[in-house]
Amino acid sequence: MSQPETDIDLLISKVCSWVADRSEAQVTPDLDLLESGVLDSLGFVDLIRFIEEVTSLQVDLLDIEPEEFATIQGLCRFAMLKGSPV
Amino acid sequence: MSDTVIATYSDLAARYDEQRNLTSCWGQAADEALGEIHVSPDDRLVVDVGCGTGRALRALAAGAHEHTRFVGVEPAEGMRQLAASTTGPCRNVRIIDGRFEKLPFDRHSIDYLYSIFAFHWTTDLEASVGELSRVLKPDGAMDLFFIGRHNGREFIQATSRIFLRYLGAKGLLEASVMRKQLTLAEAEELFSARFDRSRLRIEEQRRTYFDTLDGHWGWWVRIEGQFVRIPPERRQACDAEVKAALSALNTDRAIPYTLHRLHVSVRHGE
Repeated sequence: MSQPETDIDLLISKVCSWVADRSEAQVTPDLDLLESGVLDSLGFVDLIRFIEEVTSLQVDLLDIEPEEFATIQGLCRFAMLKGSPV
Repeated sequence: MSDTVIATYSDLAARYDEQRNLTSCWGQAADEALGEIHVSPDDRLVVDVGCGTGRALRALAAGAHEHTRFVGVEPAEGMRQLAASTTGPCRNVRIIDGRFEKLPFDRHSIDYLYSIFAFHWTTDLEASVGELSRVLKPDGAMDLFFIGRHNGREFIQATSRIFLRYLGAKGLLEASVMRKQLTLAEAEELFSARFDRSRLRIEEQRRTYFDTLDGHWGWWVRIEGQFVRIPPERRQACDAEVKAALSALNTDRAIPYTLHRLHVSVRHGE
């Protein structure tokens, strides 16, 4: 059963706020966080931890595409659709 | 230090003292840290944790009082062998196996402990700081130099997308957490829990070094452990992309790399 779109939108909004609190950059759901330098890989470790906490899902990044991973909207969709309940 | 990193350092030990690594920005930074290490004439036991090929030990032991014994601790066997060779002429130096997470010394036995750019490889921060406080004498001194959270920002931004494609997201994040990169605040919280605040000082330094691509590539051996999961048949292509990305950072002063260094010092007690 697929997740309601609104749950993903809610997560995207929360994550955008989380990133914005840690950056002076203009944060949008489609911003490439790595290429823009807004987050580095260690920042992503913290971000994944945050996503897992707010969703109560375990996110295994083994099969995520690079383009999905690097943007907030891609990462959130992957987490909601592929994450496993903790 | 993870087993992967230990094994990589062991395999690449012979390359570590190549001139291009020693003259690179990291080699310069290591020499600068060495210049801030001072062995007191009263120090009987001095320990270098993560001694690598033993260059710092040799330099310090040469000018030390005859009653000062030096011990180099190094988990990578290839490095230990080189360190033993480097310090062979020094009668007051021995090299042993060990790591921050479990230091092979009795409680309160060390007068002075130092470490140059090794602490960030620990796999367990709390355990390592606990070990440091356990083995250092109550009035002992310590100087730890290690990289901070914001190290190498220019290179990180330029290359993360490339490593994402070659390592995958999971591999990229696993590689990144191999090094414990603390902020100043995190380091203060960690060390002040175990060491006397009146003798503890933690400083951070950000220094930008400029060098050619070849010059920077000279220190790449120091981080090879983070890339072992790139399939060997794809490594050459990855390196080519990384080099192209770093070349694009070139300025009229050459390619910048900002080194974020943390220095934790504990001064001798009264």
